[in-house]
Amino acid sequence: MVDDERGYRDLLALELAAGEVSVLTAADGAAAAETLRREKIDLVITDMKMPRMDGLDVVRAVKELRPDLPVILISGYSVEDRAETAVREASLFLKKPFEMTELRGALDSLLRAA
Amino acid sequence: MNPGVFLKVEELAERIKAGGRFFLAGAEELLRLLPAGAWIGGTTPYFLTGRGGALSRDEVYALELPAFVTGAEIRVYDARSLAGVYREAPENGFSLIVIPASSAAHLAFALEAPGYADFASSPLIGWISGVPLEELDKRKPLVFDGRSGTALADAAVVMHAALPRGKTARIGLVNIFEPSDGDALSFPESGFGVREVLVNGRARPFAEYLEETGLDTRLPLVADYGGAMINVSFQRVDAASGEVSFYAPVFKGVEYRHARPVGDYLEAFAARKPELTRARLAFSCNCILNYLYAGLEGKPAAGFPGPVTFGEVAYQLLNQTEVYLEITDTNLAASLRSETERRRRAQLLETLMETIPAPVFYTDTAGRYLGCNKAYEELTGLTRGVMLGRTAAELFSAELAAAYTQKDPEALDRPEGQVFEMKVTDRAGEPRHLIFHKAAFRDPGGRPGGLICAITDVTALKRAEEGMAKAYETLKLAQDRLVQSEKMSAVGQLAAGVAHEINNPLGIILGFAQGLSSRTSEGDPLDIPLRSIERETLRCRDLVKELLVFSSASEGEAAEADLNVVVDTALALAGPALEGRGISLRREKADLPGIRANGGQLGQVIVNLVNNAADAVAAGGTIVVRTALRAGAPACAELEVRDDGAGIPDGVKGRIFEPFFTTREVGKGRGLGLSLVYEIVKKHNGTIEVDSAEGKGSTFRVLLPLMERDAGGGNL
Repeated sequence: MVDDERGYRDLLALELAAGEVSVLTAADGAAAAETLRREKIDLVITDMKMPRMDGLDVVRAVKELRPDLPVILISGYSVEDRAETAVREASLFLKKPFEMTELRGALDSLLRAA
Repeated sequence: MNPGVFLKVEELAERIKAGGRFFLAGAEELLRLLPAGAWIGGTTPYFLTGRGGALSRDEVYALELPAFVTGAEIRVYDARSLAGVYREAPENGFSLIVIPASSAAHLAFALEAPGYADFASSPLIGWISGVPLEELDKRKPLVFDGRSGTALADAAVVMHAALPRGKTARIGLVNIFEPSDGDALSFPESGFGVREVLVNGRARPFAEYLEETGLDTRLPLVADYGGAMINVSFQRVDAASGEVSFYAPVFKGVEYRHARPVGDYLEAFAARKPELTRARLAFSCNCILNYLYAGLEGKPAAGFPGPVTFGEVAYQLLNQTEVYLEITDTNLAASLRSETERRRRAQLLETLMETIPAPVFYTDTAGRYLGCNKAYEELTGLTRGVMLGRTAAELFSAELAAAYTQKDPEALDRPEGQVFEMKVTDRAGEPRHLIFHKAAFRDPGGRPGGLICAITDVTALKRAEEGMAKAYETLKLAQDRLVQSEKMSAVGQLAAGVAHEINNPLGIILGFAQGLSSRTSEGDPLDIPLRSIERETLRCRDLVKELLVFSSASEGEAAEADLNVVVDTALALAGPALEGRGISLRREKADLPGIRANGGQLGQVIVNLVNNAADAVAAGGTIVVRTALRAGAPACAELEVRDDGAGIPDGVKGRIFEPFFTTREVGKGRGLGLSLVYEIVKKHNGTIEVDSAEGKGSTFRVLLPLMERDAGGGNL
């Protein structure tokens, strides 16, 4: 789970960990890439707007390192330009604020497909 | 100088032989007896003598040029060469002329003198010779060239007399006639004989007019020739041929009036007689018509001594006028304004008046028109003939006349003049803004003579001013609207920016609340707090979503939509709630072409307008939602939401579209409804109109552009 906002990282780590998934978090794209190389990851959730590497950079890094991994893009902003590309390249887009049930549903279907 | 004497032929002959230079008038037989010499003369048996008017067949009137006259050159002019009579006059001096009545020279001089080169540049005085009235058909009027003693019946004879430095010749006239306030008469052609007259501008046979009006033809016609009152005397009215003939020509374009009757010629003459001493008076002659009509024969003090003539010349041909020549010392002359100079000034003034574009008129102290210029005639549409002698009350609107009546006494009294502005209606019925500048002028006696008024027409200026004021109003209104619209957008944009920042924390709160809530069971003491957190967070989320409409990156796509379908869908959602509140909803619809719209947002417009209307009406109220096609260029789709509710108070009309403006109680509304409507309509390139009357209800009309059929993006 990549998000520069600590609240979201904690929320997702805690709430999703309540199910059968374990969540690793990263505060920016560079840390996420590092984690991606080191750990066995099944799915990436990334925020769009972040300092240094943004969501599109993360999506592209994932495509390069692990082309098979599904990526869920989450954002509080409306879709435009760069974000639009990221949305196309990601597997799924969720608009903040979303409900956890929405996220769990998406997670389930993407992991099952993988 | 001696103003002429009456001499027996023998004595006169002696003096001619002695080298005297003479200007003579007498019977033909007498003049034929004279020796050759430096004299000229003409035939007439009538004279004014010191003893009054007299017929004389044995004496000759003789004016001897005084010794100080330096040159006396005699010339004979025919009808053609007369044109040079002024040019050939001495630089300082005078010319004496005598012309036989009814000769070609007489006719030419009468009609053309004002057109001769250097006209009136030097004093020319003289007369038209004639015959005893009882011999009119038997004799011919003659003039004599004394150098050979020759009698001439068809040429003018002139003596050009030069004066030394220090002496000045001046010509004057005594006209006892003045124009009456009767009809203005003018003539289509110049000439001695006319058939047609223009009476106040309307053409009529002149003889018929004379007979009908019974005008006394012993009284001349009088006109203002560049400052001098000049007479034209009637000679004959031939009822059979319709021809009216004169002793001097009438001129085309000049306005004449019949003379006012003269009660007593001698009295009138005495009143006008200039102060002349015998020492200054050189020559004088008077008209046979005055002699006859006024019965001057045998009356002393009838005028200056001299011949009684068949036409008088003072620069040009005159009738029924006494003319005189005086010679003064220059130092005296300097104090008198010379006739030439006076004429020159009158001419200059006349030209000035006619040339300046400002309408100008002048009246006497009683407000009667004395004259005006061309510009004033054009302004009023009246000729001066119609105006002369009349007052504004007789010619123009009662309003204008009343203004003059009220203001003129003040203008007559104020040396600095008077300026006032008035709106008047012109002859075409158009309003004109005029500025009147009035100033009093004085008569020669120093008494108030009347008012002169110059007018400035500022109609065009006023119109421009009004146009400018109107344009300014329009501009100001447009600017107010723009400011209002910008203000709303700015507030909205600000709110939208904040909304983004709120979204993230909101998501986190919502997420944790929902997570915790899913793990608590009913009856758990945390259940209500957690559900409350969730519910209120969702409320915040909805508010943020509404605010985001203001951000430029609107959500959702615009596509072709049928406004009726959008309206019906929205009403299906909002309708049931209204029924529950006892409010009836009526739908009126017309078929509409497609519009380009974001269906979701437009639906929100309808829901918001309907909810707003519902809040304005009490139970039992009615809301009408109507769609229609509004004709215009271009035509557009119209959505109307009308209620019969409370209406919008005047004080808040200007603010209803402002974000967060609400008349609801705190907590009952966010104040975004109408501002969202406004924002969405704006995004759709539409406009919104509001009609509202307090206590009667409100009508909101949304106008949306129709889909462009020829636009590339359309999928039709």
